[in-house]
Amino acid sequence: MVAVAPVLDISDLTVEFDTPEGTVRAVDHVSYSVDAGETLAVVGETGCGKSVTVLAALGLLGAGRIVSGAVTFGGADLLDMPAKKRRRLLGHDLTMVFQNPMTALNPVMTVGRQVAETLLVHEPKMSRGTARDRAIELLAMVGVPQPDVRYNQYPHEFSGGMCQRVVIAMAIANKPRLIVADEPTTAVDVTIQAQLLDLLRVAREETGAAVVMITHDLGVVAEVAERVAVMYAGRVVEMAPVEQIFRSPRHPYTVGLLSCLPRLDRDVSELIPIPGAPPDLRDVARGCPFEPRCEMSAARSACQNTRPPLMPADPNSVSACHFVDEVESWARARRGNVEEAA
Amino acid sequence: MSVRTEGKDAGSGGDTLGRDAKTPVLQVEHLVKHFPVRKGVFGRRVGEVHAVSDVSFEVFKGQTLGLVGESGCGKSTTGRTVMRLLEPTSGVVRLQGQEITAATNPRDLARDMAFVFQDPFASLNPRLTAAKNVTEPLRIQGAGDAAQRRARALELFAHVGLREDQLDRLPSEFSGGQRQRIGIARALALSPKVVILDEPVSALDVSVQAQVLNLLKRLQAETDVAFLFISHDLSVVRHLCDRVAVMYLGKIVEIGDRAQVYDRPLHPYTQALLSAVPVPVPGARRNRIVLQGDLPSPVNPPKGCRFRTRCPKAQAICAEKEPELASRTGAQLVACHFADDDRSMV
Ligand SMILES: Nc1ncnc2c1ncn2[C@@H]1O[C@H](COP(=O)(O)OP(=O)(O)OP(=O)(O)O)[C@@H](O)[C@H]1O
Ligand SMILES: Nc1ncnc2c1ncn2[C@@H]1O[C@H](COP(=O)(O)OP(=O)(O)O)[C@@H](O)[C@H]1O
Ligand code: SF4
Ligand code: SF4
Ligand SMILES: [Mg+2]
Ligand SMILES: [Mg+2]
Repeated sequence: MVAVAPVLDISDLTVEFDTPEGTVRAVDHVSYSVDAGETLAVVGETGCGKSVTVLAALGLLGAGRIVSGAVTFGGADLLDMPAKKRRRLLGHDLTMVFQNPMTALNPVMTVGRQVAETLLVHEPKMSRGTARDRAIELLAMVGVPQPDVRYNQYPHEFSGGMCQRVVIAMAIANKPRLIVADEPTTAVDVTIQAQLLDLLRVAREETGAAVVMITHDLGVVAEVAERVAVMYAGRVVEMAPVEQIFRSPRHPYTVGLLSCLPRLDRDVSELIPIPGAPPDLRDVARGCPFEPRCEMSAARSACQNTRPPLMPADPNSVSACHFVDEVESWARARRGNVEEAA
Repeated sequence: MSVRTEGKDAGSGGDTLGRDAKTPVLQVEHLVKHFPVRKGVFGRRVGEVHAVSDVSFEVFKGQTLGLVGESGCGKSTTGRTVMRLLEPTSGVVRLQGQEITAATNPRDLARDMAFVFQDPFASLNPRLTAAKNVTEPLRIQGAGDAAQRRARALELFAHVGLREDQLDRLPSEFSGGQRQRIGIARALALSPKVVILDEPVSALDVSVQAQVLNLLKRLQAETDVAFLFISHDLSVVRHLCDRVAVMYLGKIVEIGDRAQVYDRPLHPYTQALLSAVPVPVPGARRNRIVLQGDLPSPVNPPKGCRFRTRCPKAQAICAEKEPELASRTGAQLVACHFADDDRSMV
């Protein structure tokens, strides 16, 4: 947050899809940025627009339409960039790790060769032998056992967790400046998740890259992130340093998310669910999108009629709530009521 | 494979499996389920998946036993075999003391035991209204006329927090959380003694998951139904369950009261599993035990202790002798040769 320009800067991005049932605004004026060496976690429930935001920002959106916004990568405009130039960035300076590693791997090419090719595309003058040695080194680094043997195997001979390691090896092969990881551990078991999160942390340290970690798991957020953006119904509703998000959330939705979590580390007398369900994006409330589920609103007309903009809540955080000053005391009272009843 | 995995005979009065004089509603003894592995054009049998290998546990009235473990460890196969959705290879299942056999009438079984699936959408009939789905078990039993079934549907809807005006909607018109409520209502239609729930909240977002977890707690308090709750989510299991069984590669490696298992896990696998779960506390300093490697194939499980290929404490004996699931501290059973050696790992 000093004078250095962020690696990735998304500003005021809006994305829509046309569907037979009407227009879906999947991303609604989203802004966030991430600095070198920093991990920003983007968290929210299914369908809140986490993935579409980054896909649109990186020019990987299939069907959708970017309605407004600007995205820069290292100062260069990503949206206006010729597709060819952008493609050259992808896989080198700017890499992605998705939930399903098979989307990134070629099933009919050996794993080692895929890693080597990634190196060669970036550095065409590298000799085949050097690329092979480097690829084996990378496989070893991400914890693939017997990397020289595994080099010659195909993805189907690897487990899901092992394939994800290979994808991470490819993502860090060329010292990227930005790694976008979209639910990279959602499909694997928790012991494998622990391995992969460790690996991503090491990868970030080794490369100094900025990381955008998309997840719905607040445990993962607490573990990896410095800063957190909370999304709801296509919008960022709160953004703050990680300690603050967990200690004193400044948006009723964040408060709700935290108090409905079952905990591994302690007994919770009672979970306090958020009533209702996330909205259908074809039919988002006119005022605050969270209003139909917000227990703090008490049907106030500002909530029902006016979209709350994302505003500074304190020196470190921003929140999109008309009554942000009430959040802390409301959250305390809410917790107190439940404990009394229990 | 000859080693019995139980300290004493189950049901010999006392507290072998962690409960005082209470009688279990569900008893599972030495349950085994193998699946054939076939190969080639003639489907020659070339091996067996040891999905469930000698699993024993009990579930008590009004209580929840959580069955946890990683993907493929045999949780669902255990649940399905207990429910007789799969025929066991061997073993005994008793419901209220009565042995369930191949000769047991499925209709009788369905009166006392019900199943809730992970994917509520796939398990509901898309062409039947919510009300008809919920009372389908009554129709199969030939219980009541249409009007009585309708009344029961209304009762069940109120029970699980659905509205009367939703009775005649099709499953496709409900959200994921609501569909799971329909699935739970259907499971409760015949007031069963035991409900087996296989990952019932895994497909739900946290805000909706909490609603369903609270619902399950309330229903249990109201009806004294027993739950066998299958999940890979250790936080959810801690919240919901009275007792916990941890599975690894077809076997229960540790079983005990929730507080014992979570606060003082004795099996190296339980310790590693618990230490791997990220907790929502930034900067929480935890001694993570990172397991090396992947789950071995259940077609050729390791000889001796099945966990030894990934166990940070493995010794030579672990490859030779399979550890018994036996009592270490009263009610907690652990299958490890060195379970009491070192508790400082977590
Ligand atoms: N019909 C079947 N035929 C062959 N093997 C099977 C069959 N069903 C399950 N298995 C195997 O049995 C083992 C246990 O599977 P099971 O579905 O019980 O695991 P699980 O613990 O429920 O896993 P998950 O957490 O992924 O649901 C796995 O190795 C699985 O591949
Ligand atoms: N190709 C598409 N056509 C129509 N709607 C889409 C498409 N892709 C995504 N959406 C919608 O955009 C919203 C945001 O999706 P996404 O960013 O994938 O959510 P998540 O936060 O789970 O990553 C969802 O409502 C989703 O249904
Ligand atoms: S603006 Fe109103 S409805 Fe929206 S979060 Fe704040 S109090 Fe709730
Ligand atoms: S018996 Fe040996 S290999 Fe198995 S859990 Fe105990 S120490 Fe580890
Ligand atoms: Mg997504
Ligand atoms: Mg399963």
